[in-house]
Amino acid sequence: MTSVSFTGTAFGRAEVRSKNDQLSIALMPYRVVTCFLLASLLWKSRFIPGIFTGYLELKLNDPFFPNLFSNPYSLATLFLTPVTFGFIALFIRNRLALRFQAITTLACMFGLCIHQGSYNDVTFVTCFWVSAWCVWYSFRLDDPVEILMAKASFFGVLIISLIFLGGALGKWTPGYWSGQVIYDIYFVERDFWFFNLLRANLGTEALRDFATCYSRMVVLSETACSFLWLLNPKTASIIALAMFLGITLFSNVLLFSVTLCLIGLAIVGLQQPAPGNRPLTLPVSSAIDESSAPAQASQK
Amino acid sequence: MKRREKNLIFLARTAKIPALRRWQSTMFILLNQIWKTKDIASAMLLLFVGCVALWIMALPLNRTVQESYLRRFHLASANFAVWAIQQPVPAMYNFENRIWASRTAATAEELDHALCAIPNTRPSVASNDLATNVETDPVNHFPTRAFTFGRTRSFLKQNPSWYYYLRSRYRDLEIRSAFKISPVSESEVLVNRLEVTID
Repeated sequence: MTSVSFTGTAFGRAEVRSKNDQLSIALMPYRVVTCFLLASLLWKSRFIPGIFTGYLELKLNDPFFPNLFSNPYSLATLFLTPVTFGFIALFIRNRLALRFQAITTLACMFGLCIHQGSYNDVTFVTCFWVSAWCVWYSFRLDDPVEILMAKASFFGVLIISLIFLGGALGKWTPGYWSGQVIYDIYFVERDFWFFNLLRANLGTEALRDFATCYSRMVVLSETACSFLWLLNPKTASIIALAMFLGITLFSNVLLFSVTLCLIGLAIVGLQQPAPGNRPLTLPVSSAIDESSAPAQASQK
Repeated sequence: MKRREKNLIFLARTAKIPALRRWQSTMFILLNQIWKTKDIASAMLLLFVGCVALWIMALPLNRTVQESYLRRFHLASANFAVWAIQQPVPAMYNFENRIWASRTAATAEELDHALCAIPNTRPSVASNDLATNVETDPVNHFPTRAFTFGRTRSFLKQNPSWYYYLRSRYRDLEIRSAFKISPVSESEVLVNRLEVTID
């Protein structure tokens, strides 16, 4: 029997939809995020063949790592499996298969976070958290679309806030506040258009002063962005997008492997209707009644 | 109307700031919806994010957490499992990290001298020809990447004997590690931890 639901998000105008249509709408954010997760991994992929052959040529025997997590073949498997499954996930609608894909991707990302050849790469940490969102989403595909979108946006922004929090608090140290760390890493010799431009136009003293301002701006903006989850998801997503693009375009385009998957999460947040029309900003009692009604109906 | 719902409405309406009231309302409805529909997936994700956020927020406040973070960066946790469980915690560009690389064992004076003499050289691990006995460079995170990361394997293959000295600092807490990389065969090098000090 075909059940119906009332949807009114940016993914579909308010109208009566069949359950199949509802799944189509619900799958759109999942596919967007999966696409960006794949983009992150593919941005990184150009380094993988060189790294793989390097590891094959010379084994680094460190007793700290178990053999499984220092083996180059396990590194290749952990990287290629989520890429392959991600492409497949863009074309399937089976809930069980999507859950399997999401859980496998999460497990592989965790594996990459602890493998000797990839543990230091933040790409796999951000992909891990985006995969956690995907696992959650794959288990809630049958939720009423309005509720699902509201939760998806909120959790997306919550994860983005967590990433910023992790980056910010480790920078609450004198080296970052004085700008010395950023100056040494980026301003002295980094071959990138922004730093080349600054070196060409500023003297040593002015460059050092600029590095201090730049570093403090990074610390303060990352700290502020760790509170994004307190904002309306749409506003928070716009700020997050500006931050990710700013970080990447003004410091290192290689960081797209870190930020692209998070940009995918922020795009989901953009799909929220403007403040005032959101289902979750309705008066409390009516929103509870409306949100619980479809769940009760499906239970019957 | 149930008492709990009345409480939710009361709390939502008592907020003076409209944005805060809207946020309170959103949060309460979200949590209430999760509770009412027994949404275990959402509850688990919230719990997971909450636990990791608490761990991160403890960093500036608790010395044990700071030590744990710094040991993680130097692959010096109690064991692999303790290290692995911390790895999903976001820590990009955390702390003040520096590496020194040398072909022979270096003294503390030599490390200091390298810092003063060549304050801003490129990563010494990316070069086969060191200008001096000891060269140094800052790194953004995980200073152990100096010898574990992919690109460096080709340098290690050509010159398999290296000494690495690593330092990470968070406020008044500092961890220092020394590693010796020595050849085992043409296709294998061994990592020896010489020392780890934290103070």
